[in-house]
Amino acid sequence: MTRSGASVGAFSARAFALLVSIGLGAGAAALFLQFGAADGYQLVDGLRAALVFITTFWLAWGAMQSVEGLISAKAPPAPLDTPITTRTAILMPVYNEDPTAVFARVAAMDDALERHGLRAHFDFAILSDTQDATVAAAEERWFVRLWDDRKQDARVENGQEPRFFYRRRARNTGRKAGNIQDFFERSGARYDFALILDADSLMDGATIAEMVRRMQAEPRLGLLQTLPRIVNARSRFGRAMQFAAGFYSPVFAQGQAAMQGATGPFWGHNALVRVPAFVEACALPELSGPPPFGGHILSHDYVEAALLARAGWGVRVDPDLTGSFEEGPENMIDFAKRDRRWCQGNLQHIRLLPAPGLKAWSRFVFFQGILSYIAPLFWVMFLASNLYATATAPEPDFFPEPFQLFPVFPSDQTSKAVGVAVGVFGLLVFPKVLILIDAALRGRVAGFGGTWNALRGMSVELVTSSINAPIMLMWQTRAVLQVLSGRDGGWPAQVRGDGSLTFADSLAASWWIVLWGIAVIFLTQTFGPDLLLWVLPIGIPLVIAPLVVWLSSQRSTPPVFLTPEERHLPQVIQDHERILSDWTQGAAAQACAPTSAQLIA
Amino acid sequence: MDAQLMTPNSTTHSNEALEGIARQNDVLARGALPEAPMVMQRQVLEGASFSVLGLLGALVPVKGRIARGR
Repeated sequence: MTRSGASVGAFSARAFALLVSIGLGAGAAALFLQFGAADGYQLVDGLRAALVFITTFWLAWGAMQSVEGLISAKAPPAPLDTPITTRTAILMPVYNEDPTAVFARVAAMDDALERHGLRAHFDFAILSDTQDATVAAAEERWFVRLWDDRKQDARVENGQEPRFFYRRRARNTGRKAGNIQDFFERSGARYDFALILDADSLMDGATIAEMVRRMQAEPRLGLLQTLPRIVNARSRFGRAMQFAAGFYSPVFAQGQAAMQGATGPFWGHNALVRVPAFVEACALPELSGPPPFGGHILSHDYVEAALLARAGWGVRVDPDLTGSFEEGPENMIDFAKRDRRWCQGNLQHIRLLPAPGLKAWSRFVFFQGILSYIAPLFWVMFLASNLYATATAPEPDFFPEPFQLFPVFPSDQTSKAVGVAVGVFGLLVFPKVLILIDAALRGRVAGFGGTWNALRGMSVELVTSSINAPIMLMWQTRAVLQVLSGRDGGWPAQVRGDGSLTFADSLAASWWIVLWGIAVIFLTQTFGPDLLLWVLPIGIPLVIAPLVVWLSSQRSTPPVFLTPEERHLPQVIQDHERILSDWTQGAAAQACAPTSAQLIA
Repeated sequence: MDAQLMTPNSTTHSNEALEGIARQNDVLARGALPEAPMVMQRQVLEGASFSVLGLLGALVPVKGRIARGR
């Protein structure tokens, strides 16, 4: 182990990725400086080179994660078959969610455990922070349904304790982290482990059991994170994300795992925690001062992982654990809304960078999260500084000396700028191509419909994400500026059940982006027409943003973006759909049934 | 009694509906979280170790505290 607690392997992986990323960033900056200073060095050239360094470093760092993932890939270990001797609480925190779907997920996971004969080791606790009275009343009714469905009365009458619990907090103090903390403070002593889920999480029984066995085998492991696969996406945007998450994320996660060592991540759900470790290390303080930087810690999961590592507990992601699922946003507006929350949470971590006693890697993870949201600002600054530099570039002086006979032509360094642009594009595409080749060689492409279908998915995803990127950049830039100025989001109400948007919804959310797109193209044409071709790939998506947002929310079907879960629906998802279908038959009667609150009123 | 069997009645509370509520309250009481308390001590995150993001701290063990208000 090194002084900072990392294993030699993890330290080497970090050093390699860091050095290559810094090298590529510095190389790109040097090339760009030569291009920018061809007509004489100006201050803006230095600024542009610095921005090229930061943005290239950031892209290279992402690419290196995939390289590390491919280098460190190994065959998954054989499943453990040790007996389960511990007790685990499966925690389902909910906040104004659709209770029918949530309780059906609980029932499906209970069935999944039963298939492996493991029910006796697991309890389920639905931890409601729901503040909407109507949803809360529905939760109570569906809990009765779950209770009856799982025959808990018979269990209690036989003198056994129930295995399903429900409680609702009248005030959601501390949000999800407070919700979990409340559970541990009230009931934690009954359990060795807790499986923390999200309302849209589903996990297979074999996966849950394997996680418990791995945790039993390693007494200093405080948290074991899985890599959830996105499922049930229906829209073009949602299915593109689902494909990307299924195809690329396992490799990126493997790369992260190689670099993190025992200072791994917690992504807030689909993870198993050791209760005594969590209780010892993870009670979060309320930060001094007002939001956005003070108050409750919003992105609590990263902080909890850092606190576990600070207390000497191992935190690990095991990308080989399959059978872990979640759902993703179906349209760009939902994605941007979620991103707005994450943006605030990550920027709040600025306060925690110097927190006492944290491992170096934990601080770096905070820094990474902060940079991931600030990076768009650097891209915007880069575009603006290029426009400024072009507009203010001095006219070439062919006769710098008096009485000069022959003209001196300025050195054309355009090829160096083109080289940087090609390199940046390469950093975006290179990891994806490597992952495709690796998947083809290992046979992983079969789950995605074969090599050609995977290639088609990759190509379409590349094009669509290139069109989406400038629009996302605008939303993300606005989110950062809103957080820094202490303002709230201000999104239009929208979204039907399937996540599709109307054109009016799309326009309401992105009209201001259109104005920016027009402004960018107009300013470029006016002050730097030579740059217009470079700016159009950004400007055009901005101008047609409402169309992009609307079209991408519409329904999509395979074979493009086919995933293994679409080809063979996992049993736990099948069970969830079956239970949901059974339960919602007669939903109309359910909807008409009076709630306690209504009757009491 | 199944929760779905609670009969809607806009004017009076039928016996069946009242039974449904009683049943619901009974299940909610039986399914309440069991008491097995643990104490979670709030962690200290404010204040600082002057270790330049911890990274240089591995090399230069100079530490100080600039906790708010102290």
